[in-house]
Amino acid sequence: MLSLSLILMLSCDGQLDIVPQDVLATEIAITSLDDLETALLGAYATLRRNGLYERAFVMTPDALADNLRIGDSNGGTLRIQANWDYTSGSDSDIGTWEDAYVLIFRANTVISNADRFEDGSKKNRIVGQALALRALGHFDLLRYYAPDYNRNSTEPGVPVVTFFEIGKPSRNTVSEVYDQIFSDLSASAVALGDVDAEIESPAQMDLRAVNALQARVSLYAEEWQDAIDFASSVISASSLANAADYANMWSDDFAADELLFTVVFASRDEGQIGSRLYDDDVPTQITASLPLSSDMALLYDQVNDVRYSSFVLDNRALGNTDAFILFKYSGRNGERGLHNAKVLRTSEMYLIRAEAYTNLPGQDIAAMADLNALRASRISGYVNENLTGTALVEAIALERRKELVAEGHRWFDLRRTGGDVVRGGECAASALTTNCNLFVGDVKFTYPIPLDEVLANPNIEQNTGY
Amino acid sequence: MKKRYKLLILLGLTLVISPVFAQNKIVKGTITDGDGEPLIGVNIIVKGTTLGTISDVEGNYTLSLPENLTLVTYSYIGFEVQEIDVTNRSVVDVQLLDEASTLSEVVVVGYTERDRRKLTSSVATVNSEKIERVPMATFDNILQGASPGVLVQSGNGQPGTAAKITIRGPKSFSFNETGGALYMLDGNQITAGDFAAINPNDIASVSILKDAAATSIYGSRGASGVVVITTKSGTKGATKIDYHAFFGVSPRPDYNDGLRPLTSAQLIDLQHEIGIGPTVGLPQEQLDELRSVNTNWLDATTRDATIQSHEINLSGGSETTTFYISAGYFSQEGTSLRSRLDRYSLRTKVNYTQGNFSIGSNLYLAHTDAEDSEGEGNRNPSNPFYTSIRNAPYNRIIDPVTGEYALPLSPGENQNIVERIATNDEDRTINQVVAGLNARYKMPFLEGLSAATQWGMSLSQRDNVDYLDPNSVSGQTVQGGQGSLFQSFTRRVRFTGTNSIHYDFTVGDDHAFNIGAYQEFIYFNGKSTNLEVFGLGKVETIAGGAQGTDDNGFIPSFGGGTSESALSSYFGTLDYSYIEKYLLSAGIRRDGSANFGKNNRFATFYSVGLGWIITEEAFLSSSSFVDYLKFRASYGTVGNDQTSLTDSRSTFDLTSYNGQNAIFEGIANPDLKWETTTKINLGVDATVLNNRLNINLDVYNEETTDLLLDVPLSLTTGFDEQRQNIGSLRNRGIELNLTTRNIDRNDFKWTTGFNIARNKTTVLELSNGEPIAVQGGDILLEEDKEFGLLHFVRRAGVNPANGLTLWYDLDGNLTEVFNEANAVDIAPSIPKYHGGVTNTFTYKDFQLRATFNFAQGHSIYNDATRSLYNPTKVSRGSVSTNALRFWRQPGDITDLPDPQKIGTYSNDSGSIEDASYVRLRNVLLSYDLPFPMIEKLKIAGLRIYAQGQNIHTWTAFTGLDPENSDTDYDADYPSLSTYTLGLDVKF
Repeated sequence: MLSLSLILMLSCDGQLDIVPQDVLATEIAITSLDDLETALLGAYATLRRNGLYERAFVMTPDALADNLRIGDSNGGTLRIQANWDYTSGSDSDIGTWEDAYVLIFRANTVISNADRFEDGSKKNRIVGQALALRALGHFDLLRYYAPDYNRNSTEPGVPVVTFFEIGKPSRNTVSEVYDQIFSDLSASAVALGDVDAEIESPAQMDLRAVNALQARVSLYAEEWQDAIDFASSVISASSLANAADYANMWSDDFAADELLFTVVFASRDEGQIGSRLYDDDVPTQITASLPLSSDMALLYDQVNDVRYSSFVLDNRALGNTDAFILFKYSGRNGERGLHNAKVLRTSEMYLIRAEAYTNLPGQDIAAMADLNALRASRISGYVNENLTGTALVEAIALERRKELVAEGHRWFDLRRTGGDVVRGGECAASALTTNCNLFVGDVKFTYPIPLDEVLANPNIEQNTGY
Repeated sequence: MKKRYKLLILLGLTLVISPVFAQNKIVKGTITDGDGEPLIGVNIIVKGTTLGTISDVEGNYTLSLPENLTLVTYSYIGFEVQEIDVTNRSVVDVQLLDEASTLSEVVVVGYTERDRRKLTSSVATVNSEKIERVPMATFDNILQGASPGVLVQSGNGQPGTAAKITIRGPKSFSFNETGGALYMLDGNQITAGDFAAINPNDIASVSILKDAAATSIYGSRGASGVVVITTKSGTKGATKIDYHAFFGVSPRPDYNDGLRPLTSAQLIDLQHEIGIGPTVGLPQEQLDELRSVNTNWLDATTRDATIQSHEINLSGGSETTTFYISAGYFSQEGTSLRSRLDRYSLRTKVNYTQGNFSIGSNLYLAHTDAEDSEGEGNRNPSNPFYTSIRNAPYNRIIDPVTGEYALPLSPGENQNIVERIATNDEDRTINQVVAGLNARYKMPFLEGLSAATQWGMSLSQRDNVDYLDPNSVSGQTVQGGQGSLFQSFTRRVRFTGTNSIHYDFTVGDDHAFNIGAYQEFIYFNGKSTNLEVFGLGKVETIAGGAQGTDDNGFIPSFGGGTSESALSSYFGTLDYSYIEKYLLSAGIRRDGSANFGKNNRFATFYSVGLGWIITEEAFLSSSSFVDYLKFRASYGTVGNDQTSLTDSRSTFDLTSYNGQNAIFEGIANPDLKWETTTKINLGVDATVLNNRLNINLDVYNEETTDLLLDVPLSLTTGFDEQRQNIGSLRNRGIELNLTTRNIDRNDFKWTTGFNIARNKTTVLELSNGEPIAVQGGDILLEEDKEFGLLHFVRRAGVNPANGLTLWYDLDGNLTEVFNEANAVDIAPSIPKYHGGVTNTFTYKDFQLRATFNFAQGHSIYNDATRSLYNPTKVSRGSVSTNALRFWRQPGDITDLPDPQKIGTYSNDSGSIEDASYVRLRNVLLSYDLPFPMIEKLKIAGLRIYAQGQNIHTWTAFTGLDPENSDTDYDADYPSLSTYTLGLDVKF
């Protein structure tokens, strides 16, 4: 027995070459374009994170501004944000900094591994989407953390990351970040113009979605003509949902052509974007951590506007404290709050184009036409209006607010256009909100960079005021 | 050897007394000491009587005793008492052993055993007497206060939860839940959880190896200390049967003042004052009714729990074969409703020796069936200890109208925790096997040369079932709204194989050598599978789950994983002693771990220990003050490979998007290598005052370098941290152990054991010298600073003018703005001193033993109490009576801010509490039935006892239990207080 055991153990050192089993060793993970495509889907999966399209680009911008408010039953959700009490500390972190860079890392994994494969339409299809996701990541970072959105701004933007390295980068200027975003988006558009197969839209970004993103970025950069051109290319290739389809679009029952890009949440485990907006655990007692502000709810034509009937609940009749509740994301298949996040829609393209027109001389008529077209599809019996100048600009901004509520726009639109946050009496009356107005110029309009980053990376310059 | 001429007077006395009694039988003999010299004046007593005699100047004695009594005790000061059965014997010669030789007990030091006198290393032992009869599912708690430098923190009353055992301070920056020590059971590596679950009555001894000379033999695994457990074996002779049983109760816990909730009336008033909460706006009639409810949620979720244990063992053997068999049943309820544990265990141990060959096998089987209290240690509504301080007292348990469980007034925020406990389950079943086979062959051609092999397997299989009843409130909120059942299977298996060659020899009369050469291979494999099904009907198993469709939400989910590791080692030991006075021990071990990259897998660890028994020197050997004195010194290195395979191997993980498979890359560090601890230990062992005082003193310095540390990365990399070998820390400390025999008379004895240890951990070096926040920012590591200081913004109080909280900024100025950048070090989270005192009193057949243990000089961030101060939670439920101190109007001097102004309430130093404590850990009162009664019962022995565990704690901490190993406290399940009655019968 002793000799037997000696024999058994003679070559034990070789047994140390254990290959991990639940994961793929890097050498074998990506050996074909099909593998590269699974890595691309890994980048898409990042979009489900809290700091991206599970929360930070869905309801957070509306809670920071004036569309949503802190309900009496709110146990803490976004209260720091709604009161503009945030610091660089961990309590205040919205996760966008970390999550967007994970998205960028995973997009870079696809882009850098693509070099190993021959060029062609299949590779174009994969790499084109990865470039678009990298641009989306950089752009969403700018939206929260850059002090301004000017195309030529030399203010600190965010570090541009196009390949993996363990480094401590400093912030590129806003202008340099725009350079990278536009460069990635145009490369993406070129690649997606020559693909081997149709991209599964709207779960993934096809050429139409990339153009829509270019339109949005151009609007922020105030590249008006580009915004008009890209929006036009999308509008000509898509349609607005009609009144009948509109409600179904929100319950994810209907694959509306209006949806250009959505982030798919397949099950509750993957995230519930709407769980804080609508709670019907007790059917007689519908509540929300973040109800719709009454000011916002009362903007709609309650009789004729399909948006009101599709997603605004008048809770007053039931005698509950939250007067209005948004049920844009009330849940599908009985799963409360389970919805796909709507990232890009055709209606936004009309609003982008209309707003861009108003910034070009003599284009108010074209702007009004877009606004009328959108309203006509949302309001039954709508009669075209004919506004110009400031009235037109304000009407477009108002329509934007009504159309895109809780889709991650309001805060950035105010930042972009230089608007104050002025909340109504509900805010003042609530014990849970101590601050109700935020005026242009306040440092709180720019979100602080998380302390974890500042501690780990001394080259990062914190935003003013934190 | 000195002749002894004491107690001659007693001799005469006894001779006078003895003829008084009727005599039926005479026993004669001679009494000598270890060297064969006669002992004069030895007390010889017939057990259970006052009959007796003493030996004469020649050591001779003649005892007369009744025919029916056969047990005789022989005692003499400075010598061990012997008890001899004189049935059918008329001549009984007795050799009494010097009590100093109790000190030279055999100590298990890992792969071998050593005479304690010859140790050069620092080893603490806990013998079976202290371990037996522990009224707990986890006997590791008994190590509390038992040995210096061993900090045991349970802080959790869930039956079956392993304690955290830290030996000589933390060795890594991570706050490892189990403390990181290595556990060896009869040569097999086991987990901390397995260790805790061993039947305490099966254990012969526990050795705790501390310094390099003791631990370096475990190479890469010994850095945090090693706990070596040896189980009982059978001995030659007639078969003995022992039966042990005890029964007891653990009373339910009560609120401390800091947690005591408001009454319903107080809470309703407060909600109205602040203007939020579900009672605001209710009609007066309903309010009046709610005011009268006053549910005590802690009472409703706890109970007086019961405990019982039965154990029987058989042991014995012939000249060639010995055996030990034990079977046990242990059952304990927790004080939290539903929590309980039942364990069935079986152990067998067989040894066979024939000539030069010996073989042994041992087997341990255990089946544990337990239910957990949900959400233990979480600030989560499912944790009854959290919810019981969070639930509003105006909520009812049972609706008086319907007779069913009542819904809370605001169901979104509160839940009926009693309903949750009653309708949902968390079951776990654990099956454990530890099996070992060992063999040794003494080479016939060379005296002292032997070869040995040892093979072992430890297997544990765990089956967890979490069930949410479809009709329960929580069961209706899961996907599909019709309950869920989560089942997981985990199997872990570890194989250990060790081959060794030993050579023991002497050169001349003076030089003694023990040499050992070893080869070892360890392989670990763990697998887990889990499944969750939805849409349950009446069948409460996986089979009861419904088929999932896109519409019903019942789609099952699954998960699982595997993990593997391996260790391959070669090592050698040398022990040398010169005239049993100068001692040298040395060890060297080369380990290869699969957890590191190819270039860094192997490392070599070594140690040297020196000992000098000064009392063997001529100048001290005749001292009447010092009986025994030894100096020890050791130096060496030990390693740590506690990291996972994927930390050094770059890999892609799996996920999915839109129903399709997806992958993403993780971060690795191919350069990862061993963490190494260099240990220096100096020690003194002394026995003085005629063996009345025993002293062990150790000082040590341990420096850990190449620490495996998760270094924070710039998030722009796509990762928050990477494991690197960066940083070093130092543990420096002193340990003192005293054992005294205060009174040592025939019928009354009093002994005291006292130990205390001071350890200080200092961070020496960090990645690039930059501070690192750990423990969720509770602690900031900085170079040249003590490790484990709680790092928070200092709360200064409340501004009497406006009710806003005031903090200090870094410069000490008052500010109303909370900013984490103003955080400073407040207080240590690791005890400065800890130790224990045990007093044992023996009077005739009674014994009373009391153990206190203490930990001093540390603080805990009391997160549970903190959340009770939070005025924004008023709407949720029960804030504590602290709420009565809220600032109300200008001029109020108080420490809690205006509840109307949120944002003035933050995580700051105000919730840091001194967690020093002294705990009356254990009191045991036992009575051994005297001999005549035993004989009537026709048994070999009977002991009955009463015991109390965790009887009282003196502390300023306001949470339920200060003995918490975390830096923050989240309403943990408090340690149980247990009172038991038991008996031990020997047949």
